[in-house]
Order: sequence, then C-alpha cells, then structure tokens
Amino acid sequence: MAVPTVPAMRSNLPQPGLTFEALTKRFGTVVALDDVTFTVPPGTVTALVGPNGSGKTTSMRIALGLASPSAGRVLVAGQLYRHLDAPLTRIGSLLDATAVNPGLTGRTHLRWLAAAGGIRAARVDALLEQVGLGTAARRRVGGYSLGMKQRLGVAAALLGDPPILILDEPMNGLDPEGMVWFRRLARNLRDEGRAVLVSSHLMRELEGIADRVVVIHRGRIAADASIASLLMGSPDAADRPSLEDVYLRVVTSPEEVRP
Amino acid sequence: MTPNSRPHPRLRTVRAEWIKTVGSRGTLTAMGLLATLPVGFSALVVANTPSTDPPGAPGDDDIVANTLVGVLIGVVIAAVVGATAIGNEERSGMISTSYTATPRRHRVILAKASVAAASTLIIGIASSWASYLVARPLQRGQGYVAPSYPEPDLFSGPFLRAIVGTGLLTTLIAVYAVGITTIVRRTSIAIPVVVATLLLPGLLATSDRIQQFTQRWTPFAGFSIQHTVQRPDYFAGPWHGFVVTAAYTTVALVAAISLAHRRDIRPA
Repeated sequence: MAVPTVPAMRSNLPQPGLTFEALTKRFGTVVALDDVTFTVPPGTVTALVGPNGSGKTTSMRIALGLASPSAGRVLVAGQLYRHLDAPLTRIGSLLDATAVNPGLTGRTHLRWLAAAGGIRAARVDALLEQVGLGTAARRRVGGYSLGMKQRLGVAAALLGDPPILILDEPMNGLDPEGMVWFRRLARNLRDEGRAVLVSSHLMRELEGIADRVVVIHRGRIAADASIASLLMGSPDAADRPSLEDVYLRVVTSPEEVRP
Repeated sequence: MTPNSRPHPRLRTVRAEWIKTVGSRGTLTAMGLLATLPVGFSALVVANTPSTDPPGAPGDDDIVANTLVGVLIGVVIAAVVGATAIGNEERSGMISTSYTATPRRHRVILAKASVAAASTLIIGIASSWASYLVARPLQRGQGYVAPSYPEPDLFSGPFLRAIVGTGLLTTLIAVYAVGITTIVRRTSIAIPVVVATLLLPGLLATSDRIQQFTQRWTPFAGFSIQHTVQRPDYFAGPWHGFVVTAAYTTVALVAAISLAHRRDIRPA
C-alpha cells in the first residue's frame, strides 16, 4: 500500500510567503487593526490599498517586529520576524524612505545595512547602479529628492536578495520615469517568484502591477481579491470599471469581496 | 558565502555602528572638539588661578586634578556623542531600519554604546594627557612650584589613575548618555538630563554634609577619579566615586535595553 507521505510532509512545511493572521492592534481605545487576515503568496504582487490612516503602515510595522500586535500574528515564511536568522536575507522592507540620517551618504547607508545584515559589501555598489543612484552614491542623503530617497529605500529592501518584500508607498515622490522604473522592477520581482506586498493610497498607481488587491479600511479588510475578479464583480459588467471605481465602491460600502 | 563564515551577529552590529559613526560629519566634529576643547579649558582656568599658599609652606592643592578641569567640557561632549548615537536615529526614523536589521534590539544599543565608548576612551585619554602637558607649565607660572608643589611623578599610581581615569570617566558618560537617550528617545531631552544629573549635584552642594553625600552617592562621584592627594574636602576615594558613576551608567543601560525590547518603535 502506498503511504501518503507527500501530503503529510507538505502540511509540515512552513508557508513560504507572508501571512497576516487575525491581526488586531489597539492604541489605547483606538482600534487601528481589527482582525486583519490575508496572505502574500510567492510569485505575486499583492497590493495593500486603503485611505491614509487605514492601518497599512501599522500592519507592515507589526510584520517587521517594530510594533507588537494586541492579538494575532504575522508569519514570515512560517516564522515570527524576531525569530528570523539573518532577517534581511529573508524579507526586505521599505517603510519610510525619508527615515535615513541626512548626514550619511547613500552608499554609507547601504554599507552599514549590509554590515548589520551580514551581506557582502560588493553588493552595495551594484545595487546603487541598479536603482539609478550610481552618480549620487557619495552625496549625502539630506540633499536627495524624495524620488532619490525612494530609490535608495528600494535598494535597501533588495540588499539581502530576499524572497519576500514589503514596500510601503514606494511610488511616493517618483517622477514619471521613476514610475516606469518601479513598475518594471515590481513585475521582475514577481516573475522571479518573490512575494511582494506593496501599499498605496492611490489605486491608480497599482494598475498594471498588482495581481491581487487587499483593501483595508478603518483597520478592517474590506476586500481581498484578484484584480480580475474585482473588475468582474462590478454590477454593471457592460462597461469595465477602473480599479479606482471598484476601490471607491468598496471603501464607501464596506462589504466583503472574496475571490 | 555560507552563513557560518559570516562574523557573529554581535560583531556585525558593531561594524554597522562603526560605519555610521565614521560616515557622519557630526560625530567626527564631536571627536575633534573632545580632543581640543578640554585642553583649552584646562589651560584657561589654570592660567588664571594663582597659588595662594605662602612660598615655602607645603601646599594642599591637587595640582594634577586642577590641570584636568577641562573634563567638565569633556563630559558634556561625551554626553553629546552618546546621545546623538541614538537620538539622531530616533529623530530621522532610521532606528526602525536598525532594529529591522537587528531584531535583538539590545545588540543595537550595546553596539552603539561600544562604539561611543571606544572612541571617547581613546580621545578622552589623549585629551587628558594633553591637558596636563599644556596646563602644567602655565600652572607653574602661577606659583605652583617646588618646594610647596614638587613636580608630580609621571609614573606614580595616583598620577596615571587621574590621567587615564579622566578618559574612563568621559567614556562612562558617553555610555550613560546612550542609555538615557534610549529611554527618553530625544537628544534635546537626554543631554540636559545627563548633564544635570552629572554636574548639578556638585554645583549645588552648599554644606559639607551635602558635599559629602554628592561626592559619594550621585553620578557626580565619578570626578573623584582625578584626585591625587588627600584634602579635607575630598569625601570619596577615587575608585569608590568612579564605581558609583559606573553603577548609574549600568542601571541606565539596563533600563534602556529592557524598555527598548518592550515598547513599539515609533515612526519618525
């Protein structure tokens, strides 16, 4: 008789992506996150969309171990962030591109991060070229434009060549050329099989990048669906709505939309 | 590179902090000031303090400690070095990136303390040597000469303890400031707290009884490491005082680490 070893083994494997499990966060009496559950599977770009203050950044900060949840948990490839060995090689993150000491040069910033993460220093210069900061590498970050800081932040996220990426509003401040660059980068990361979570408060930015959309509104998941099913689910299927229309419909009447 | 061939995470974090320190203009400026300002202050004070002892009578002034008075400036600069190591990152928000790279937060704090300690120790000792070498000739010009004041033996225990101890005190204060700044999270609050707890007890002590208490049991006690003679207004032994200040530093650092592990890291 054949022993069903394969399913048994599979159930023991850690989940490769990023899993938000019943996440709740209270600040005093304010409920910032209320039972937030969604996953970011490998090989997809998952968009986390919601108005300002809806809980996008808070969920990401909890995922990265910077804030502790009131209930629930976030698993990075099956583990809590603080239990990860060499975390920068497991999950890369861009939270706030302006959060760099202005006195450091872009190159120094990546060099200390590489040292802290146990990453080869040679990767720093290659990455600076890749994100288009080759000529600005030795200038101080204080003199960078917001778009340049975003590029530096993306480089910092990619430093450890991680299979999972968390990018909070990475397109803020990018010029049109930067937008094109980022869209191509995001698609490449997906095609390489990485799990990518990108947040935005502008649905339009995510068109053409995101495979799945998780809409968060007032700390709750208002929708969690593939792009295709979100667009199909429109009541008037005759004229295809834009993502923007769908998003506005979801946040104004927060009913659950499931794939 | 396999994970096994990488340096230990603790060393990686220290290296990262070293790269930040060397790469930022502010800390390099502070090191330059630590090397020069205490020397200038010592020279200025000593050059304007004439001996009041009648010639021939044995004097009771602590001439070595007097040439090291620039430490009052040195500890303030050390407080700035320690405070900015944490405070700059709290202000810019980069502390989040540091804790993301090193989720065991005590490693970040201890690495910052180590780098601040190492740099202030080397420069602090050099600075106190220079203070003595510059100030002593000026002091002689003010009448601090033999027979009342024989030249100090540069290889005697008390003399070396005062010179090296001044550097060690600077180091302690840098680490104390790392602890206090981690707790209060803002440089602009931390520096006044460090300087006030360190210097005010000595300045405010009016009576001998209060003076005795502050020299023995407040952070101010550490300055007794500079004493090379016995005086009626010296109430604490050199090492006694130093250990008391070291104890305050340890308490601040332990409290800082325990707080840093428990609380949420705020975005800037």
